[in-house]
Formats: sequence, C-alpha cells, structure tokens
Amino acid sequence: MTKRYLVLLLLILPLFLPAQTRVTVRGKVTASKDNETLIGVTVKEKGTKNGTATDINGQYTLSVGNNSVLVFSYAGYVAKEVTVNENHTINVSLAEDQKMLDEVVVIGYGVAKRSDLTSSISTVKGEDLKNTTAGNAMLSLQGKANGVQVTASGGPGASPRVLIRGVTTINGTDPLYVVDGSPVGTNINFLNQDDIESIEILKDASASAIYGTRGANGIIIITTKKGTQGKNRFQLNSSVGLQTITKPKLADAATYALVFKERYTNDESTPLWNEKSDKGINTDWWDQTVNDFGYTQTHNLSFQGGNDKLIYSGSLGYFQQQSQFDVGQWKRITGRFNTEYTFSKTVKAGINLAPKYENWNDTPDLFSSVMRMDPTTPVFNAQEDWVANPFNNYARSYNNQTWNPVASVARENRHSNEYGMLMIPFISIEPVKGLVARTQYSVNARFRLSDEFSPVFYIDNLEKNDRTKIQRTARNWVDWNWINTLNYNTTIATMHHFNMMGAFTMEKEGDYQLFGSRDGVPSNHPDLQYLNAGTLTPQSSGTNIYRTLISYLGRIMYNYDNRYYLTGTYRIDGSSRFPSGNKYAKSPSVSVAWRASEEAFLKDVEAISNLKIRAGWGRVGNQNIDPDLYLNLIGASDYVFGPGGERQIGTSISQVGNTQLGWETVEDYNMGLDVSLLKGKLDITADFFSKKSKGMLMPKPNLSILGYPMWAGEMMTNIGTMQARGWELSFRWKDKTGDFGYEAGINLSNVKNKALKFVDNTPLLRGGFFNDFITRNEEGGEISRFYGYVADGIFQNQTEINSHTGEHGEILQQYAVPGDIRFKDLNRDGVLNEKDKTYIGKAFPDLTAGLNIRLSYKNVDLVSNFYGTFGNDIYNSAMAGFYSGADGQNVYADAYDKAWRGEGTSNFYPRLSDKDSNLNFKRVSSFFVEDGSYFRCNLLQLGYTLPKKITKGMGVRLSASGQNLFTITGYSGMDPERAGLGGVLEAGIDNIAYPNPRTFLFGVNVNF
Amino acid sequence: MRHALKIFICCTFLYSFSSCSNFLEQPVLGKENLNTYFQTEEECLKQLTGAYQGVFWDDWWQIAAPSVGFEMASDDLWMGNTTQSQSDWLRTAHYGNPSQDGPISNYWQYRYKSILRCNIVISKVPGAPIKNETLRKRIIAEAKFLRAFNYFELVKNFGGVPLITEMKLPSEILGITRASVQETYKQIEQDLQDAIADLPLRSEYPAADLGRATKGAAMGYLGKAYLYQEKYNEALDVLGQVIQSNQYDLLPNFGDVWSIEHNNSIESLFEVQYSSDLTYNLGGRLPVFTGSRNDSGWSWGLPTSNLEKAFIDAGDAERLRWTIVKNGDDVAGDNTPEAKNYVIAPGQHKSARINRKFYIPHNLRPTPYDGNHNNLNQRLLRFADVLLMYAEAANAVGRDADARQALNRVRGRASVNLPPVTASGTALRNAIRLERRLELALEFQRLYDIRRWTDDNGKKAIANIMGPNGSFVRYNMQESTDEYERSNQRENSNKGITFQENRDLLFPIPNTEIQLSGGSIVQNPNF
Repeated sequence: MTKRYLVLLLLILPLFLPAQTRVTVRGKVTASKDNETLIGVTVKEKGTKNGTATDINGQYTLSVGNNSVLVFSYAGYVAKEVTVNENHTINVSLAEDQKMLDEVVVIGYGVAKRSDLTSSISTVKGEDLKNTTAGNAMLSLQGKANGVQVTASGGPGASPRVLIRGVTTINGTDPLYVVDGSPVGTNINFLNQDDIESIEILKDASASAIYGTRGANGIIIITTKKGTQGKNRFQLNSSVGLQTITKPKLADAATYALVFKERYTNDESTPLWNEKSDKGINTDWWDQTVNDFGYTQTHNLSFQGGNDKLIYSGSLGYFQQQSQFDVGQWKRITGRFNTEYTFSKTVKAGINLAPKYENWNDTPDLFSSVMRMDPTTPVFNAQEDWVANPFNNYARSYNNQTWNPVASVARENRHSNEYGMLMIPFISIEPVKGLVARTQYSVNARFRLSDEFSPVFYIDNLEKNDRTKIQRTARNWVDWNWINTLNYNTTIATMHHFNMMGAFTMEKEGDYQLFGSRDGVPSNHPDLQYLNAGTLTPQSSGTNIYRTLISYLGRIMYNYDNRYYLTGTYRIDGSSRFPSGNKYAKSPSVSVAWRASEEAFLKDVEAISNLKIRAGWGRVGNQNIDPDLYLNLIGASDYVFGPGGERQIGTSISQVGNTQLGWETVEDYNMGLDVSLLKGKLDITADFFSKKSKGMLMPKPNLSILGYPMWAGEMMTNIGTMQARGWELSFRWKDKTGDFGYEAGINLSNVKNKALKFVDNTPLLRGGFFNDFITRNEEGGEISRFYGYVADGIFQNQTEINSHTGEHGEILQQYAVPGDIRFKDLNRDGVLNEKDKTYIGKAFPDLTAGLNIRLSYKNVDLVSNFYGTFGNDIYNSAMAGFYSGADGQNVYADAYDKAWRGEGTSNFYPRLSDKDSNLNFKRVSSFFVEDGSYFRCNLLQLGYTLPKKITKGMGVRLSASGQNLFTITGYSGMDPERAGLGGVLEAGIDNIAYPNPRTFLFGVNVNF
Repeated sequence: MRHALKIFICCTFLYSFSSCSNFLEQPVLGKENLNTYFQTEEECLKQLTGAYQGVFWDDWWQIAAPSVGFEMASDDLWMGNTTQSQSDWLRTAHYGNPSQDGPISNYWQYRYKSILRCNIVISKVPGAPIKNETLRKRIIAEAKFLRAFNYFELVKNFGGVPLITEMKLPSEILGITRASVQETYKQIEQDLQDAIADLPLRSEYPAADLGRATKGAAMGYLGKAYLYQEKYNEALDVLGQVIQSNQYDLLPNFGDVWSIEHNNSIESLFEVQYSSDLTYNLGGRLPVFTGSRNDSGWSWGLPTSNLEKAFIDAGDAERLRWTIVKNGDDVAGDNTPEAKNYVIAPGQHKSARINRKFYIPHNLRPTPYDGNHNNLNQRLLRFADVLLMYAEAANAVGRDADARQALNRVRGRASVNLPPVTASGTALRNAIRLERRLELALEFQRLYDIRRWTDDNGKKAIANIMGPNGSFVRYNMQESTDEYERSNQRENSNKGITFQENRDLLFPIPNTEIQLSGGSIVQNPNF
C-alpha cells in the first residue's frame, strides 16, 4: 500500500513541485539598433522544451521556473541569455549579428553557412520581392540579383526571359527552377511569390555542377516559407491596379492617304487607291481595339505557426491580370500547406502541398495589325448591309491586307484551364549527430484543357473562314523525382570542418497529349462550341512523351579553421534523351576560398567584418533537348489516284534527325570577392567569370537544297563553342540615423558573349529580313551583331547619284533616284554587293545596371527599383513599314513630314516609293539601327504603416506604387526592353510585340 | 534506427542498379521512324505517294502560285490584281528589283523538298524486304521520273543547280557548287531513261493507279528535255515513239481539254491529281488563285490583250473563247446565270480578262468553292504539246513534211478546225511557234519557249519581246487600243521595259541560299 502511494506521489510530484516555484515572465523584445520591436523571436527556458515567440508587438509571456535562464534567439541577431530573477518583466534588446555570416544558404541537396561558400551564389529574400506585384516571381527579381537578367515579355501569363550570366547556350536559355529541393522545370508561373522565403541563384558552374546536366543555364533554388514555433501569425497582402500601354503616334486617315498616294506618284504610277477611302472616315484603330486600362489584382492570405513538434505554414493566393484587349486574361488561384513534424530527436517528416488552378484566355497578338490597319476603313460595314452573322459585318481593310483587328478580337476564342498539384513529402533521419539521411519523393502533376473555336465568317475572299472549327487539346504532365541524400557534418580536432553529401536521384517526366478537332459546327452559338457538335473532318492525335534521368552525386566541403575553404562536387547523369552509348555525362567542380578577415592580422580590424576571396571551376552539361532530335521521322502526305479522285494515304519524311548529336557542356571559371565593411553597413561583392560552352546545341538553318522538311531546314546541331566573359559588381549600403533609415543597392554587370568556333567554319546568319539576314554570328566575334550596309544619307539630286561611283566611274546604285538612301561601297570595288556589308550594331549591352533604394522615415517608406541596359543597339525593323507604308500599311504620324520631298528636305528618311527599287526599306542597313540603351523605373512604391495605436497592435501598411513607371531612352520604338528579346543569336530585333504595360497599384498589407 | 537506415540505403542502390538501363530507354512514341520504315509494299507505296504530292504540294504558295508568277514574266500574263499589294510579283512580272524573291525562294525550296522525298524512295526501296520485284522496279522508276521532273523544273527556271541525289547531312555538302546546265540535264536524262525502262504504259496500269507516271509521260518529258537542249534528233526519236504508242490522242473538242469532266483524258500524259473530298485538303488552288475577284477569285495572273490579239490575228475564235474570258462575256461552257455577262471589274483587274482554262463552271464547282477542294486536275503534259514538240524538232532537222503533219493534226482538232499549214523552213518554224503559243497558252509553257527560241537576229525570242524596244513593250506603250489595259495603270503597262538580256533569261537563285552556302553557290549573272 505504502509502496503504491509512493509510486503515485512520485508520479504527480513533478506536476506540483515546479508549480510552486513557477513565475510568469513578460516582456518586450526590440532591436538594439533602432528599438524596433521584433516579431517572432524565440523565447525559451534554457534546457527545457518550454518556449514561446514574441507577438506582433514584440511581446511575450512565458511561465518559467524561478532562477531559470531565458534564451532569446532570432535569425540575424546575436542570441541573448537572461537569468530570471525577482524582476518578472524582462525587456530584451537584441544586437544584430554584425557579420550576418551564419545565414544559412540553400545550395542544392543541402544547406551551408554563407561563410562557408566558395562559389558564386546570390540570395534574394522573399521580403525583397513583396513590393512588386507580378504573376511571375522572376519579374520581381529584376534588378535585384546581380548577373541575373530578367526581361519581361508582355501579355498576361507570359513568362519573362531569365538569363543568368549571359549566354553560352542557345538551346533553351531558361535556368532550372528547384522548389523546396524538387526540380520543377523552366517555368515558375505556377508559384505564388508571397510563398517565397528565399531565392538562391547558383551562378557559376562550381555551384551548379551539383545539378549536372540540368545546370547549364544556372539554377534558381526557391525555398518556400516554413512554419515557426510560437503563436500563429497571419499576413494579408492585397493589391489592385490598372495597367496601360502608351499609344504610339500613328497617322490619321488624311496623312495616311497622302503617304499612300505619294508612294505611287513618286513611281509615276497610279495609286492602287480604293475610292471608298474618300468618304471621310477616320478610324483610330488603336482606340477601337486597345483598352485604356487593363485590370490586375492580387490577394494573398498566409499564416505560420507551430510548436516544438509540428510547424506549419500555409497560404491562399489569387492573382488576376487582364490584357489591353477585350479578350485575354490570366487568373491563378494557389494554395500551399507546408508542414514538418518532429517525431523524435532522430526522425522528422513533412509534406509540402501546393495545389493550383489557372485559367486563361489567350491574348491575341494584335498590336502589329492594329498599327498597320488602314485608318480610312470603318470598323463595320454600313448598317443596311448587315447580315445575321455578326462576324460578317466588320469592314475589310480598304487599302491593305491587314485583317480587321476589332473583328479579330471579337472572334478570338481560345481558353485554357489548368489544375495542378505539387506534392513534396520527405523523411529525414539523423541516427548519429551530424549524419542526416533524407529521402524525398515529389510529384508535380498538371492537367490542362485548352479549347479553341473558330467561327465561320466572311469579310472578304481573303478574310474569311468557310467552316467553323472546334478543337480541344488535353495535356497532362506528371513528373516525379526521387531524391535520396546523405549528409554528414563533422569537425575534427576543432579546426577541420567537414560537410559531406552523397545522393542518388531519379527523375521522370511524363507528357500525355490528346488533341481532337472537328469542322462544321452548325452555328457560332456558345452552347455548340464543343467537339460533339462538329459535323465534318474529325481529327485526333495523341501521344506520350517520357524523359528520364538517373543521377549519382556527391559533395565535400572542407574548411580549416574557418579560414581556408575547399569544395569539390561530382555528378554523373544518365539521360534518356540521348542515344544508347552516349547516355552518361559527368559534371565535376572544384572551388576554394580564403577568408582573410579571420586571419589574425585582420581579425581585430573593426572596419572589416568580412573579407573573402573565392575561386572556382566547374563543368556542367545541357540535356535540354527534345528526345526525338536524332531520329528521322515520318509524317502524312496524302495524294490522289484513280478515276474517282480517291485519297491515297501517303507518307513522307517530316524530320531529318541529326545522328551526330552530342552533349553540350559548359565549363566555367569564377573568381570572386566578398567584402563587408563598417559593421555591415556596406557590403561589396565582385565576381569575374569566364564561361565556355562546347558542342553548343542549336537549331541551325540549312541550305534548302538538302530538301529538309523542317522549317528553314532547321536541324538541332552541335554548332560549336561559345564564350561568355564578364564581371559583376554589387554594393549595398544600409544605415539608419534616428528615424531615418535608408538602404541602397547597386548591381552592375557586364557580359561579352562571343562565338569561338562553329563546326562548319561558316558564320551563322539569323533574323530574316526581306530574304536576307540581320544578324551575323562569326567565329571570334560577339554574337547577335547586326550585319548590313552602311546608310550614308540621302541622294539629294541626280548629280549626287551620278557622282556616287566606284574608282572607275561605275554608277553604284543604278536603281536610285533622288530621295533614295546612299549606301557605302565599303570595299571600293565599284559594285554595291554583299561585300559592302559590315557590322552595324550589337544586341547585347555593355552594362546592365540595377538600382534599389529603400528609404524610411518613421511610418513612411519608399521603395524603388530601377533597371537599365547600356550600350546595346536595336534593329528597329518595324520602321521598314511604319515609315515606308509598304503594302499600304498605316504609318507613324510623322512619316509624311519626315520623308524626303525635294532637295534639302531630309538627309535621313528616304522618299516614299511603292516599288522601292533602291531597297531603302528592304535592305539590311544602318538606317534601322538605333541605340537601345534605356533606364527604367521598374518600381516606385510609397508606403505608410499605420500607427499601432490605431490598429490595435496589428501591422497595417498601405502602399501606392507604379511599376514600369517611366523609361529614359532614346529609342523610338514602343518598348526597348521588349525589343531586346528574341533568340540569343538574333536578339535585339524589334518586330512589335506585346509591350510591357505601365501599372499603377494600390496595396494593403496586414500582419496580425 | 540504424538498421532501418541500412535497409533504406541498400534498397535504394539495389533499385537503381537493377532498373537503370531500362529506365533510361524511353523510345519516341506514336511517330514512325524512317530507319525502320520500308518494310512492306504498302510502306514503299506510301512514301512514293508522298513524293507525288511534292509535284505541286498541298497549298497555293509553294509551287502553284510561283508557277503562275513565273508565267507572268512572259507576254501572256499580267500580274492582274490591281487591288492588293503586288510586291511579291514585281520581280518576275516586271523584271523588278532582283532582291525581291519571296515566291522564287518558296519554289526553289519546295522543289528540293520534293527531290528529297524522291531520293529517299530511290535509295530505300532497292533494299526493302518485299517480294514483288516488278513493283519494286516500278516504284523506283516512278520516283526517278518525279526526281527528273523536279530537276527539269529547276533547270528551266534557274539554269544549272546543285545536284543532290541522296539524303545528306549538312556537313556532307559543305562547299557544294552548282552543276552546269549540261550536267543537270544529264541527271534528268539518266533518271528519265531509267524510268522509261521500268514504267508501264498507261494502258498497263490498273484503273486505281490512274495518275501515276507512265512510260509515255517519261518519254514525253525526255523529249522535252532534249528539245530544250536543242538535241533535235534525240527528241524526234523519243517523241515519235510516244505518238506511235497509240496510248494518246487529241480530244475532238478543245473545250474539253481543261474541263473538270475530262480529267485524265486520252490527251493527258501527266497531270496533278486532285480530289474534292471535303474531309481533306486535296484540291487544286489555281482556279481560285487566277479567278475573277467578282467571282471568289484572287485575280492573279490575268491574260494580256496581246495574247488575245494573237488568237484574233490567227482567226482562232474557238481556242480564244476556251482560253480567255473577258469582262462582259458569256463564259464558254458555263450555262449558269452567273456566267452570263460575266463580271471581271476593270478597276480591279488589269486586263479585265481571266484564264478560262483554270475556270470551273458554276454547276461543276464543289461547295464550298474555297480553293482547297477543287478537283480540276492541273494538266502538266498533254498530247498536243507532244505533237508540237515533235513538229518543232522535225522542222529543225529539215523533216518539214513530218513537222507539218504533226502541226496540222493539232490545228485539225475537230472543234478547232483551222486550215493546214503548208509552209516550210523558217516560215514553218514560225507557224509552229505561234501554234504553241495558242494551243498551250497559259499552261506554263510560253516563258520557257521564248527563253529558248532563237530568233533570226540571233537573239533569244524573249529579248525581242521584252526590253525597251521589245515588241510586247512597244505594243502596250504605243500600239494597243485596249481600253481595259490602258485605263488601269494600277499595274503599269510598261511591263518588261526593265528586262535585261544579259540577266533575265533565268530567275535569281534565292539570296538566302547564296548566303548560307558561304558563297559556294553562285548567283546567276548580273543579279
């Protein structure tokens, strides 16, 4: 009996005993530097699991044992221990960890302390992205990470072009995105940017070699927000905005008519002028087709919380963007739930679930037709001629072949729905301290259904659709990858630090396609816009495409006394995309670093808190090609035989494969310097790099005489060796004086992309322009340079034409008349021909600059981001039509006034001519080349944080911002940024695409 | 826990080693592969069918439209369309700036694409595991006929061209140059001779094979290739065999020659086969491409009054009405109300005339009449052409009696019934040349005839027709009283004035081809 009581007592004693000595401690945690309250600081009773976190006001309450020690810890701050004494209110002020060096960086298949890095990795915090509203997080990254060139590409849902450190491959320049350790491909449109905790960009091969053949274009690792122990925290971010596009100045009907007719009268022929144009109609096609404002909005609710067993974070987000047309929009709903459960000291498991839904209507690419359309044409036919089919009532362009853009918008009917789920479950086991085995199996499944309906209509013989067509495409992608890693962290003899990793991974991508179409839907009625309603020409197609990859990889990071660092990695990839015998590729890397600031002679220098010198080498591959490129494929080519005209099924070659296809590899050297001065107020990073790609893969146009069925005879070829060399320099200054805080970052970079060697020893000509090519890529030269004739003013009279001769008096331009462009006979051989072409411009900039400024005074803050490129040219090929009126297209408002019309009227713009026998507007020449430098204000945001007294403790910030607010440029086209896009061997050619809109937004952020 | 870890690691490695090799083999699904093709007769025939499709391709812009565009360089056609941009056609039709070579490039490119299809059949079928040797030979012979056809089209338009007779990788043809005209013709002759040996006569084919290349077609083309090279004796021999083969004859009624109801007639040696089946796009494009804008047409390639005058001067009313429709005419052979007082609005059409040969009467039009479902077969070689080529060759070697007999057979066609020609020597030569213009007008013969014929002054015929003093230019600028052509200067009547004798006997090789070759392919002179 006694024994039994004794046991009971022993059992309940622990419950009572501490209670008698427990006290409740309260307090507030602030930052020592600025006395700002710190939210989410972990407060723990030392040696126990008892703990909490500070709330929105920096307050905490914790019941602890008397005389216990409280530990206050917070990322980026030096942890502090305070002993609980009779004073039960403990206010703590935490000092910032000056060095900020022990920040943990995700490096691929593991993490490392920033101080241990030996390669070039940029980190951008989710915090720094949140001020920009964008559907694609990369757009928010623009100008914020050095060496990462992000170029926006217009319409809703369009993915920007992301280039990391220039161009050494042309075969898909997009980097690989890795979300929470799972490679997800080259597009992250699906990701809600509010979910991002941090983005790491692996820029050099010594960093990206761990991703082997997926690393050629660099790696962008995205880590989503994890839960934190402590009280639930909520954030609500919401913004609504309007976007507009600057209207180009186009000719009205009267000016158009003048230009149109003069083109013929100058040729002494009768204008092909349509008499209907003389009825005084003046249609502004831009106003008729393009809306003044498109609407965009984003709303996001997220939360984090947890205890010592379970941490979780989640979000629900909505993003919507409209195009400038009546059709064309993108909606996205995303959800996320990240959990991690600690079973015991050794075992942890978790799952990240991210479902999404996207819905979009395709945005038609109509700016070109809007701008070319004949302004003398009305939008609609005369009302008395109207018929039942409303699509027939639009007018046909009177004087050119452009399709009525208002009618095109009305008929536009393409829409898609996509559902997806990214699931990343994992288990990690730490059987021995420092040894962690982790296995993660992620599945990324997406299901897309796209429908397209083309109504029947008749506007003209050449603007009609005789039969309705309905089509549906179902595409499912199910990708999985299985990643198994073993990490071991240890220190031997206090000086030798090891961080080792070995891994085995398998990946499989599955693409399941089904397509069906029918013609002859009985009417244009919306209820009939389904395949079943079609009556004619049923067609279907479908296939599965699988790609697999198996990889073995390892990494050793070693440092001696936190002064000397060495990292080595090795990866072997086997890929299904290459033929047997050529399936495996190896990717090694080595890098070293020296932290001079830890040496005795610098350790005590106050001003220098960090000084590190890095150097690395690595080699990565590129398996970014379609798996069928080495095959000769066959497609359908039917013909007719027999007295009844019977269809005979025929086949013919549809692709000539390149049997000599091999791996493309990129090898790079990197040297870098990280400096942190003045107690972390000033950070400087500098990098020099040289990347070389061998066996570069590219679709190469070939001679027509080969008879290849591919467009322009393009065949994927290992065309040669290319080099990107450059430097990056970034400065960040951060300080606070009293209530005034400021932070400024400047990123500067320069990359020279050079072609070293082409297999055929022949230059690669790209960028078609009137049966010629604009760019010429030549061995030893920079890529994407424009190659053409040098325009040398305008012939003012016949005498000038007659005196423009070769050495022996040969007339050089026999078709020229006064008002035509004079082209230079550069080699002075008396003939104007190919040999007189020279390099007349270059597409890539000398300098790319990003500028971030953040100012705050009390409750007001200003965030800004500027971005620009300098020293690049744009080939403004749109000028060919908008100053010539070729084929009767509309022109710029000043085209008539600027054109040459008699001696002395212009020495730049030639005369108007329909025949253009001198090829003023059809010859690749310096006439079209303009300076493409620009400096753009990407973001300007003014924020006001409401005083906590008013909000009852909630953090509420209101903001108003402008994105793409203004651009300083000398470029005359619509958008220098957009014009700089295009394939890397034919970049910088402006063909008028969807320009980047200017967006005005109003936002609210609430934290509670 | 350690135990679990060990098992886990072992499993991982076991799994990876056991399944790696299979896991990395992911064949391309749902696509046929050339390397495993040509296993059955059916597969061989299907590839041959694909090669036939390459004769005129499946849309308007690859071959059909440039064929009309080339003919515009002759005195028979205007560009014609005066409501739309003419920039594609100024080079050929008006000898405009040489760099504007859009349609020329398409034509060049698609002829070579078609040659690749032939090359694949010719190289793969000999090794195909099929049993029927007669069929094997015939398939190869048909493909050789088609390859010769394509090269003949190229040499007519561009002169000597690079000869490709196998599927090659780009690296295998680095530095390739153009073969000479003689070498190109040698290739054509060889292929046609091989084809003649193994092709059946037209009558030997089963009905279901109607439309395939025949021995007669190959001989007809060989005769034409000889004639173009002025190898008159060889031409005479092979064309004589065609005439004597009794496989072909003239249709009694000239109006039936281009009638949709007389596809593959007794007069036809080779024609492009079309179907009006709405399920597929297997129709011919030219009826719409050359039709009146007032009747769903695109109005490109309209006949000149100069051609009309040639008919009138020859007293040839019958062939005129089946060749040219003029604004306000009742269209010959079309009794529908739409064809009465037929409208070809003069403001929209340079000559207010259209090509009757490609016209389909309203009651015979498939619906929708939309360009890709018209089954008016494109006649490429017909018996009247063979007879006239025979006459030309016979006259050239002094066998005027044979020449007159063949010529008068064409003139004596029942519905045409023109008086026999009795002349000889140069007069007979001129009569044969005129007969070719009238009989074969707008059938893509005229340009190549006037480029190859030498006139008495030693110049090529075209040089006497075009150029500042050319007869055609003079006619349009000074003599013509044709109100339609004179009043519509939206296409300038001075067509041909910029013709240059030292340049314009050929078309330019596409500029992109010269550029991509790095200069090993050389442009024709003076472009």
